[in-house]
Amino acid sequence: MNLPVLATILIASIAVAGCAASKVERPDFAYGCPAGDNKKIGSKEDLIKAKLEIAGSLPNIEVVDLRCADRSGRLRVDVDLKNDSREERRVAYRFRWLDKDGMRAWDDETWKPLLIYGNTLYTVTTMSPAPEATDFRVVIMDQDK
Amino acid sequence: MTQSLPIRLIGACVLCATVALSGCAAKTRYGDARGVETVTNQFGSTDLQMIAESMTRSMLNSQVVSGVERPIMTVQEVKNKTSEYIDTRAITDSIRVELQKSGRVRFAVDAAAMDQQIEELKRQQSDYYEAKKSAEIGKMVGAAYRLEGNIVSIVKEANGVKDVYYKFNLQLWNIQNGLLEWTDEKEIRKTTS
Repeated sequence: MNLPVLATILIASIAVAGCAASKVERPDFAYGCPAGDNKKIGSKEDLIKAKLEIAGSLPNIEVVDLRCADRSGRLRVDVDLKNDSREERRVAYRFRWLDKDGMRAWDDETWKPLLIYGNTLYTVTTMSPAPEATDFRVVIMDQDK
Repeated sequence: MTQSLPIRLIGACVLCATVALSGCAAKTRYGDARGVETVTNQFGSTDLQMIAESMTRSMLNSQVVSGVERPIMTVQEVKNKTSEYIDTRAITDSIRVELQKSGRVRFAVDAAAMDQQIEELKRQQSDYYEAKKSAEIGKMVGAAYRLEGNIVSIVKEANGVKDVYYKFNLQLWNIQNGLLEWTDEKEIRKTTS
């Protein structure tokens, strides 16, 4: 292998390593989402458990993933809801917004009704309403009762 | 003192009727103002709140609003093109509240409130007010953007099933150059059977 080829491989390796390093988690964040007071988030399941509140019971509906990203200083959140049953299910959801101290950062959102067809996944998407709203909880309620 | 049998019977009947009526009396309770309302399939509080929230979050994500400078906007009419009465001002008021609270937007006085604004300015220019502390004429700031929109509906009914589809469209226009800077829609479907 001649010198130019070796140099190219070396530069490419450094570039790839650099990209990987830029994915480092920020302090007080877990999987891109704010950890809040919960410092024991070691897995995606822990993160979902920390951020999810179910009002009453919610059979057949499962939160299977949760993603967060920073968009111009505001928090963008995606929540994947899976309907495990063959029947269509109706739920309602809303987000609760908290500031960096865990205090309420925004008024109660409206409950948003949602239809999820049987054995399908639906992604709920939202954006924090103000820069102070740096943490959140997603609240889900059954509407089929 | 002993009562006669008919008087006792009437008394018992009155007592029974009172108990029965109190059982039927309408019960009033406070509810969740943000709860899902499905009393009828007409335009309701949940629809209004969902539209306002959806439009606000979408606009806050747009380039116009997410910049360093806080743009100045004014609210124009949202046309109601549905077959039912909808107070579209209530929708734009809610959108304005959420945008103002976000701290990213400022609002200039709109056409509907202009008369009151001018009246107050003129009043402060009268001899009753200290000239130095009065608001001056000619210092009002014009909006750079105007918000307008419309709401349409499609209603279908057959075999005891009524389907209502609403589409709310909101647009943000640049007043200076006439460019459409942002627009979004919210769709809602309600079915009653």
